[in-house]
Amino acid sequence: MTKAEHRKIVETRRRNSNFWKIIHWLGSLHLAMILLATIAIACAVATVIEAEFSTRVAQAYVYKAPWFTLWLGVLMVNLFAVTLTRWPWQRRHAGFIITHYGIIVLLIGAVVGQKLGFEGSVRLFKGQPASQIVDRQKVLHARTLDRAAIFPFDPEITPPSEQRPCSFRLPELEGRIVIDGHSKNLVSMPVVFAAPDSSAPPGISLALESKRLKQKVTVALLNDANRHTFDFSGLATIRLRDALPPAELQAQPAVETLVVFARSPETPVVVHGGANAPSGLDVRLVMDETDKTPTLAIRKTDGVTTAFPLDRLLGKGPVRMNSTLVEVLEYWPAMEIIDGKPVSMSKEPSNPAAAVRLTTLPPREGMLRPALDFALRTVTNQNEVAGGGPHARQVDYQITGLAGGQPLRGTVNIGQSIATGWADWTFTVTAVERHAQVRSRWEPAGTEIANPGSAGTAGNAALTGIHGLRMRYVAGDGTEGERLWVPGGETVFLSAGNRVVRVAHGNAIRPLPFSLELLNFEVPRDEGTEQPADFRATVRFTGGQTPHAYEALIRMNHPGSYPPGLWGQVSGQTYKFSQAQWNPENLNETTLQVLHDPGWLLKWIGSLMICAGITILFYFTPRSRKTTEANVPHNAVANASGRPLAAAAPTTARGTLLQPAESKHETSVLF
Amino acid sequence: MKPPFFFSLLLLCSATAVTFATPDVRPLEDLPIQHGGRKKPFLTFAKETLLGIHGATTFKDEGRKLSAAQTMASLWFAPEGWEHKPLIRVTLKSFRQNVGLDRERKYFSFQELVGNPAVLAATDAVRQKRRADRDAKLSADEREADELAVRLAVFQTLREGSAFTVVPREIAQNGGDPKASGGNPTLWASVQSLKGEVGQSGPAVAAIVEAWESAKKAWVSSADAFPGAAKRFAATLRQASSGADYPSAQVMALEHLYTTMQPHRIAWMVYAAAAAVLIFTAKSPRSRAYALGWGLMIAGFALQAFGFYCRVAIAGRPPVTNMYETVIWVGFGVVLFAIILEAFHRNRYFLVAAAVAAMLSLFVADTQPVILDPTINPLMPVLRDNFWLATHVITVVSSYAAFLLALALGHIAVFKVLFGRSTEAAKPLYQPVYRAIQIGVLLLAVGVVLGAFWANYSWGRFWDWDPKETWALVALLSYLFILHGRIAGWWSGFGLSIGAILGFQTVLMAWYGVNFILGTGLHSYGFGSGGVSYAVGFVIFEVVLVGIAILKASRMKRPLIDAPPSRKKPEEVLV
Repeated sequence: MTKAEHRKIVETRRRNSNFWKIIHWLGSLHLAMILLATIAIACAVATVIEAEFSTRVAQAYVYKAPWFTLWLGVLMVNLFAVTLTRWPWQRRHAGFIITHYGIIVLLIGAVVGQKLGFEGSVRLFKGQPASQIVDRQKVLHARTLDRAAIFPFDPEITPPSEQRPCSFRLPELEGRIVIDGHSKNLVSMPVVFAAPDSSAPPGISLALESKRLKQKVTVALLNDANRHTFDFSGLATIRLRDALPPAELQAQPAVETLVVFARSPETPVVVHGGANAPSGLDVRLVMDETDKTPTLAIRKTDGVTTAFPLDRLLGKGPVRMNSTLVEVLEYWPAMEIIDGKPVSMSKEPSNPAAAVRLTTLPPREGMLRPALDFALRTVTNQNEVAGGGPHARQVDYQITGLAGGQPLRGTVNIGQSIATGWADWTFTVTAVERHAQVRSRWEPAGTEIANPGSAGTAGNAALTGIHGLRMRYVAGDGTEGERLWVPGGETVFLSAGNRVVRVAHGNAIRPLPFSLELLNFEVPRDEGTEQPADFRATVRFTGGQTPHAYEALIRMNHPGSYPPGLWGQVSGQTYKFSQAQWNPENLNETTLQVLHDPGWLLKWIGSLMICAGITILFYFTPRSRKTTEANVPHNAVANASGRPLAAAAPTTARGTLLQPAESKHETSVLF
Repeated sequence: MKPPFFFSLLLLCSATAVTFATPDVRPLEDLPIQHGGRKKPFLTFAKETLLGIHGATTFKDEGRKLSAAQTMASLWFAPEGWEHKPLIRVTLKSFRQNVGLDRERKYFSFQELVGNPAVLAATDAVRQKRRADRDAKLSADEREADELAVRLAVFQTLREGSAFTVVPREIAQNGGDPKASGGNPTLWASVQSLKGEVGQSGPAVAAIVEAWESAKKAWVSSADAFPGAAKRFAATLRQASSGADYPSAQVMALEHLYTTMQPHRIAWMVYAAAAAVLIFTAKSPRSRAYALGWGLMIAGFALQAFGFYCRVAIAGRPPVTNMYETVIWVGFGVVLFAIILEAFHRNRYFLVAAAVAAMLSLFVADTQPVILDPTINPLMPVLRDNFWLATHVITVVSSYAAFLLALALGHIAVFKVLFGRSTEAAKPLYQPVYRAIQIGVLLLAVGVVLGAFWANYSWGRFWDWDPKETWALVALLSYLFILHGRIAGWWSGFGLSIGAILGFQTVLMAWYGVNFILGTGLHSYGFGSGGVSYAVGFVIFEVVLVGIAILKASRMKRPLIDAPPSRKKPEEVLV
């Protein structure tokens, strides 16, 4: 069949048959151009989305979005239809057909891989066999007494907020789970709850917050023997008491200064103090008999003596001894009083004497530090407690140890913020319970995550917690449960009325039909540096259909496959393990990427077809030397202008290849 | 022939560049030193290190220009006082201002920087941020602080002498403490670290230390005595290290030759000459000048081939592994394709386009060492597969070269339209543009496929919309769009030339933009910074140029967008 005959067949059937009209429309070049342009633009935009937000967002909105998949489907139809329009195919169509079918095969391979395969990762520790892997898909698990449900849910892509909560309906009218918050920075915080037991002590919850440091600390205090005091990382003491301590009780430290003589140890001279707060310490200066060095011996009321070589104290500032600060102000080896002032006449210890200052700290620990004291308001009648009257929700507070010296007192309601006067810390009473118990509870940390819905805009300076979701259970009868923050990867019980559901969210877990164990892991380095040169994991596979254990060395660029065997690999039935991540701090640990892709061969074949097709198309397609005017419209234009095109080419010697008209012709026959 | 002339010119330059008062350090230049995960000549180490901390390969010390080797030798043999010399570069103006350094100065002394609490606070803050989150995104100032911390640390090791790791570990261990140098069993020792071992370890160590001390003495006392002392020191080391894994003199000499000769630098000069010859003699088609142009192109190509041979021999891997190498490879590829196509078509356009394009790309690579790092470093583990590296990367980068050739040819066409009276003048370019795009499309398709194969084979997924692979696909689709539009009759030769210019912008994004602008994705081994304003300026220039050309063409008597009248049914002609 000549080219002209072929064209005639195609033209005739196109004119006479609606079927062929549709095929030509589906395979039209205009559609192809639109597809090429839109796919290219969409991909370009998606990479910007990825850089601005994240890979998962770009995938959800473009690459793996339904419309994009649909568009690729249209592309497949277009490619297939355009090959049909050339039917019956001739030799000159080879490159064209191979290229276009290559793309179709590749896309089919991608669909097969997506539907039947999966990709995940597995973290291996030496000596701990693993038989399940972490899938890339994010899910929400919910389990009632007898039913379980799994919902694909990625909070990064559909961030839940109070304005736009996400709701998941459980099967069989068991209600739904409503997620209305998302935080990347959950931390576990203690909180007081009402205790059912009326003998439980009173308790309060506090939130201390510093905007400048971007820190938030939650404190739970119970007025019992163990948990009434919180040490605020050395900065201050926070206490819950029966009543606020009277401000007068804030004793000043008692100071005594004495001069002790080695020659008359029993009679020190008290220079200053001692009246209001005698230390009760017996201080003596003792001279060593042999080397004549002085030692200060301090005996407490309980008879225990502590000895300090004097040169360790002299001029070194105060040294702490229990609740007393000991400071040697001066030492005279040969003391004399001249003009009313003590002086040393020589270095020889003829009359050794020392001036010692004792500072006795107030008996209660912490008086020198700022303190924040709380006391619940006295409630006169029990109904007020039950009814949550104003006094039930109020706490008296007192801040002492401030730079100004004066204590700060007041009454605070739940939710009210008060500046503490220590840096920019404020405190807020978040809960008051007459009978309380403490539980830990997950909460978003840091002020900037106060509105979880806008977590994306928060700075990541203070990110120390883990991500999590705020969810509640709404039972089938409409009873609403309490809202609770659920950290990723943890299983939590949500209740509503008398119904309970167990929930968890995070990456889906996928069981493997075999188990694998890390036997050895090595990281060779580049010479003279700590730069890894390779990662080599020896892994033992057991189970599955293979009777014997199988060991594989998995290293960079050399993955391992299991089950072994050529057929499994070719058909894509195996699982491929490649080195993915490592932990520089623990070389007994490694993370492998796991791929199961039954579509891989189709992808490879399709790709090779594309490459071969383009090569044939460009360089091995027979070109007819002669061409008709109808075939090359540009020729017609050129000829219409009445100028011989060959004249335009400067180097005519090499023949027709260089002529622009010829080039048009050439591309037209390529297809 | 031209190349020898250029050669001798260059040798002349390097010979006269040796300064007067500083000792001659040439005997030291071939000394093997362990640095950056491999062994290299002292000269290479010096250039790389000075480039790292100073941003240039020479240092101006109170009016005298010191070469990199002189600077490093001075730091090694007479470190006293170097902490007060303005050696350390602080690139970012905003950073200088924020930490209270002189805004207008670029170079500061070690003492000035470590004496500035704001600088230390900034470097500390970045270190902490890094520790908290290894992948934390850094602001420009933070990145500067991060780099500055490295420069300060490097300076510290230079001043202490611990950077000069020239003694193989095997010798140092002879009787000495193997844990002396931080317990890394592959790390070579510095002479300074061995000083304490003299007496306990063997005579080899004592000889090395003694030779070094005498070189130090020579450095301080008389410039004339130093070369001899340095030679003795190098010989002592080589003799003592005969049993160890010590690189041969030939290997060092090859790298020394590569470092001093800079074949890619000579190549761009040769290409520049070729471009000049070919452009100015364009009126006489079959002249001796055309042959000379050919000769120069071949000479430049041969120089580049030698340069790549050196890089491969030194690194033991294919030569296309970082941005610098891709840029010089693109210059190489442009000339390769032009030579092949010119051999068939003999129309001079290929050679002219390639000469200009290759010259520009090599010029950029040569003059922007801070953005395009020319050092040869060990690869990250994921790239250590010579088969895939040689196939995938070289194919993709070669496709960029073909597209660059198409771009250059497109420019000739556009200039012919802009400065010509009729669009006819541009017609002879259309076929060459098409030829170049063909090569590019084929290579890019093959390269993308090979990349997918490598990914699928080595670490799992075949295709996962990583920015690098996505942009390579976008570039491929753009050129397919350009080619299919021509088949559809939407445009023809001139449109193809315009397409070659616009299409290259997507290549630029895939090549440079993903690594330097987007900065995300798995191809993280190629990330860098700098030059964004130049790239954006280039894109704007191209778009404006194309816009003006289209405008001009549409006003010419014969419409240049020579859309055929039978446009309504373009498929008919394809069957």
